[in-house]
Amino acid sequence: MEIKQAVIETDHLSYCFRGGEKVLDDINLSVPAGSIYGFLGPNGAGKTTTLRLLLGLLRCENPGIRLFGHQLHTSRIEIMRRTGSLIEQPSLYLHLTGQENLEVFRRAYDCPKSRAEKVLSITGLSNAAHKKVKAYSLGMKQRLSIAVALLHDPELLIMDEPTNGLDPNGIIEIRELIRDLSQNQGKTVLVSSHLLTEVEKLATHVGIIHQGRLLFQGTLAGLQNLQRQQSLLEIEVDKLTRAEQILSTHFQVLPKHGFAVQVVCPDADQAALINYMLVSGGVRVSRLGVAGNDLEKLFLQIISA
Amino acid sequence: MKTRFLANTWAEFIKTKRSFALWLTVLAAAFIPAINAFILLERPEILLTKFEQTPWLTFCRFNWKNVAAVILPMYIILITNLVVQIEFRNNTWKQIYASPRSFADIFFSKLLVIQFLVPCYIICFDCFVILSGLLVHSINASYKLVIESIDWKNLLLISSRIYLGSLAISVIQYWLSLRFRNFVIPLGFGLGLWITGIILMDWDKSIYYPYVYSAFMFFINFDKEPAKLIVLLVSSITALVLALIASFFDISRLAEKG
Ligand SMILES: Nc1ncnc2c1ncn2[C@@H]1O[C@H](COP(=O)(O)OP(=O)(O)O)[C@@H](O)[C@H]1O
Ligand SMILES: [Mg+2]
Repeated sequence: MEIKQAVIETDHLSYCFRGGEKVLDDINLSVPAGSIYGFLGPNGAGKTTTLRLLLGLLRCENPGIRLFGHQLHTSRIEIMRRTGSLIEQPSLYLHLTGQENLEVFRRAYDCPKSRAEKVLSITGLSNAAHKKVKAYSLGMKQRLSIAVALLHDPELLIMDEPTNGLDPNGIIEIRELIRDLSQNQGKTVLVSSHLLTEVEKLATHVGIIHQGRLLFQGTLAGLQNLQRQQSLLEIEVDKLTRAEQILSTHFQVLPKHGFAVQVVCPDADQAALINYMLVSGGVRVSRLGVAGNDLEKLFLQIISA
Repeated sequence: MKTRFLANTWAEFIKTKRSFALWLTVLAAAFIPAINAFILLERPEILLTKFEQTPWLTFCRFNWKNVAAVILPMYIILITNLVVQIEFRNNTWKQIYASPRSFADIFFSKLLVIQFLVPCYIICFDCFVILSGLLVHSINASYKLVIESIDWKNLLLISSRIYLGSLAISVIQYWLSLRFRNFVIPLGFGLGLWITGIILMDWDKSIYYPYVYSAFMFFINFDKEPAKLIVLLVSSITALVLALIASFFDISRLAEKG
């Protein structure tokens, strides 16, 4: 595998909001150049907080954040010239038209007028350019936000849940757009999501964050490999709670659903041991088998570890 | 650097397009001259004698009286809030702070928009005063408010003194508006500070209280007490500089930007 320089690096990044507990704990992000990095985690995991820190929107004494190899707190302006961003809900002037919105930001980025037309056509908004943003649908607002992020033709795009709240069609459109930006224009994209299926379809690299901790970081292939190594046993029993009690002393038991307990089992040979433990504990086992293991389950496994 | 700042300031002006800012400026400016034209025309028997000596100066003071103490501070509180709220309401601070602009650029370009609108308001108001005077004269010629005798010098003098007196308030209100996302807080603070000022006006230490400067600039008779003009000028400028420094550093050190 070729070694690519990381465009974004954080060094033991921790953060707490004023008076609150730690929201981020020891995050060592490394986003390789040219990658689509899927930043995955359930709601409240700390994705937005991390991305806001990367953009310098949260004050942090010594964040140890490097973008393009430069320290964020010393070269913020240089870095922002090369970075486009979209954080959480659309950040647009509703009383202005799409075109006027771009005009406002175009002046901040100092790029030629032709760029505004270009990004409108990239995001398919040329026809709505003279409509007030107030009258845009959510999908159009989201696309205009992406247009703003693309105005200065940045090398790096940081997007926080860009498909949140969109219909399936809108989701596909934005996914195609991101893929195109990455493959045909060589941009590095950091995109957060709380949906594994989204990340799985798009990303080349994945970082999984939960409760402020980065639990996995690597290529998508690496994540899929990990999934193959770990198997998940599904056991149907008559006394669920008792079974959980017995097994949790030796194994990692997943939150139950239905009439079965699920146990993470590094190798399937331990099925006999599990059966023995349950039976001698007075639990009747009616079925014991390897569960169909997919990424979704692995994701649950990783974040409940 | 300088051209970037100008471009960004221009962008700040684009943002006020279709907002209520221009209407507020024109309506607030027209309010008092309109009422006063009405009063003059309704009550000539009482007022005519007062307007005999220096009709324009009297009419000008007649109008500025309400504006210096009440309308201008209110206008500043409202317009500052309105301009800053454009960003909060649209969740756009994060996009601004994530663009390649220095904090000073962001801070001063918006302040400049407000500092453009306030003189605009004053100029509009002065124009309306003249129009209102001319209108009164055209209906009731005994008022002698004719074009040829307009007291430009005093109008300019009063206007610029009051503007100078109002500078510190507008920076303090800018600070409050940037500090609090909820627009009720800077509004409430502003009104509270202003009313306190009206109450404190007779107090001998009120020279340390910026919210009364514009009223003082009008109500003190500087022909009788010229020394007070110097004191007031120095206080106004000192308060402006202090408010600028304090707000700049406070806002630049906010924990969360957008
Ligand atoms: N402005 C804030 N002040 C205090 N706590 C916050 C703030 N924003 C987020 N948090 C907390 O930080 C944690 C992470 O939030 P966030 O980064 O928004 O998560 P995500 O984007 O992954 O859903 C949550 O527990 C949230 O309650
Ligand atoms: Mg979020």
